[in-house]
Amino acid sequence: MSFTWYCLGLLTTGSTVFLWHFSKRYCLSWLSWSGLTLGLVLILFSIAWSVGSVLEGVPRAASMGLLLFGLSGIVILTLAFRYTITKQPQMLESAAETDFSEAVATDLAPPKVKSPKTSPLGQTVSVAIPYLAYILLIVAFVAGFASEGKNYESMVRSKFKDQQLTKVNDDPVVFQLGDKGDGFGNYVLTQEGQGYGGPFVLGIRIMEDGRIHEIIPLDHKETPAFVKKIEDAKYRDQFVGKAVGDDFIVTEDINAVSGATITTMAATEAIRRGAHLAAVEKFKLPPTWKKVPWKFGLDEILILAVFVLAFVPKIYKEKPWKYVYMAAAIAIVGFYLNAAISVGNIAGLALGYIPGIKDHLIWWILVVGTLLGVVFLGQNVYCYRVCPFYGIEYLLQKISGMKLNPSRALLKRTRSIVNFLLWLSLMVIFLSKHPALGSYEPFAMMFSLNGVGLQWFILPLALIGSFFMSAFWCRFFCPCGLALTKLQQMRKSILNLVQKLMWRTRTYGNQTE
Amino acid sequence: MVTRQNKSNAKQQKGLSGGAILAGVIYVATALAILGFFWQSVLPLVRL
Repeated sequence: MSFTWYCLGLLTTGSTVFLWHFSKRYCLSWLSWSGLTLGLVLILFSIAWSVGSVLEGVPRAASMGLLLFGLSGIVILTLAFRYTITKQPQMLESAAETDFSEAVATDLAPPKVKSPKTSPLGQTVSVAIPYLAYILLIVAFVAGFASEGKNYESMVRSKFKDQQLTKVNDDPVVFQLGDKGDGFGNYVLTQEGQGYGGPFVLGIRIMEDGRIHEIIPLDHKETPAFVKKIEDAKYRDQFVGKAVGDDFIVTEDINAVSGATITTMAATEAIRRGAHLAAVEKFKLPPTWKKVPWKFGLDEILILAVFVLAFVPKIYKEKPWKYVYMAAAIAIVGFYLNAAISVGNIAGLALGYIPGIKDHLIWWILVVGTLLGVVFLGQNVYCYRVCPFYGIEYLLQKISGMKLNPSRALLKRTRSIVNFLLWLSLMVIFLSKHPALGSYEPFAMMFSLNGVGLQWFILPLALIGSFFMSAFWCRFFCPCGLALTKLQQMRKSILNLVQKLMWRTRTYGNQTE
Repeated sequence: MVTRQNKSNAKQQKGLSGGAILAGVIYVATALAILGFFWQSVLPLVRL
């Protein structure tokens, strides 16, 4: 199904490019635009409908879709095409060769009209809005923390509706299925872990034979794409039948899921902790299992190399190294490790969702490393360097060769929209304490082919947009980039304030002397 | 003659704005899709 969406995305992109070239060649009236767009949309819709219906095993619906939407789309497209060719004048060659970016920049620029003087009320409102936004963010943050904590009992109860549950331990929370003292075993031990996007709660069902019989996902705030990936790979099944005293070490007796490595590491850590607790406290086993080593293998070396090289201007700026570096970032940070930073990571850090450094060095290098770079050096090394999505955007833009340059005034207006989106994203995350709920970036799904709901639409739109405008997503919609920029600005303001205070203290100190 | 030439130039400029319209449409569609994403995520939380 994911592959179908990708093909459809490619077709949509191809159609958009076709429309663009066609508009370059002919002066299109509103009628031509409507006809061509409607025709193409209907055709694409019919393809999606048909493939979806076939995959769902309803070929009849597929053929009806093709007939109704596909046929009418082809008719409308043909009519619009013929109308355009016969009625609309073809552009002069010289005109077609004019500097497009310049012409469109003029097009996109808003008309120069004398701006009316803003009223005092309007000025107050424009100053008050950012302050109000910050206050609301603080309120949401506090309200999120003040809200009810996790109710493990209801989580476990929802999974075992028909059975009696007895709480037998508080730390960690352990439930026994059936009455207390009914028999040894059949415990559900709860454990919390920190995934890439947020925390999760797992239930480990241990029976009287000292073996794990089931791993139950009770609750999670992890990025849905990663959860889907590990569920599809049947990650939990490999724990069934393992003894509580086993090692539970990824790459040794547990297999990681490619594309969701950090989530699998975090889940394994939580299961290991729970199983070993049960081994020592319930089954009175001696701790014969291996100690978890620092995870520093090829993955960590590659990420570290990409991150460190982001500080070297010769590598990320100058050709041909720039292209090599970009390709490495796309391949390693994107497709291989799927570790692109999202606004959820930054907000999650504020909420205290910090995974352990031993198992999650990649997370620490990318997220903590980027934040430390901003705080201590004032440099955002992630955006336009390490970010694999920027690499993809750059590549698409080079393929299309189109470069629409919106005017500064228009850029300023769009800035307020991305500001609002970042604010909304943070509000949702702080109120729900669920980083994945506010992370609308399509990075995780781009590199893992897994997504949920409307993310499937955000990804193709972001990619099509980058065909027309360089760094379309980064400039107009990326909340993560904006959050890092805001941090840089805050750092600058704080430094200026400190300098001012120091200067004042020095001046007044000299005067008093 | 001059007027005809101007008209022709104006038409060419008008034709060029197609790309800008398309980019604008993609921009608005992306913004709407993101708002839809929020709607989709917040809806189960507020239980509307």
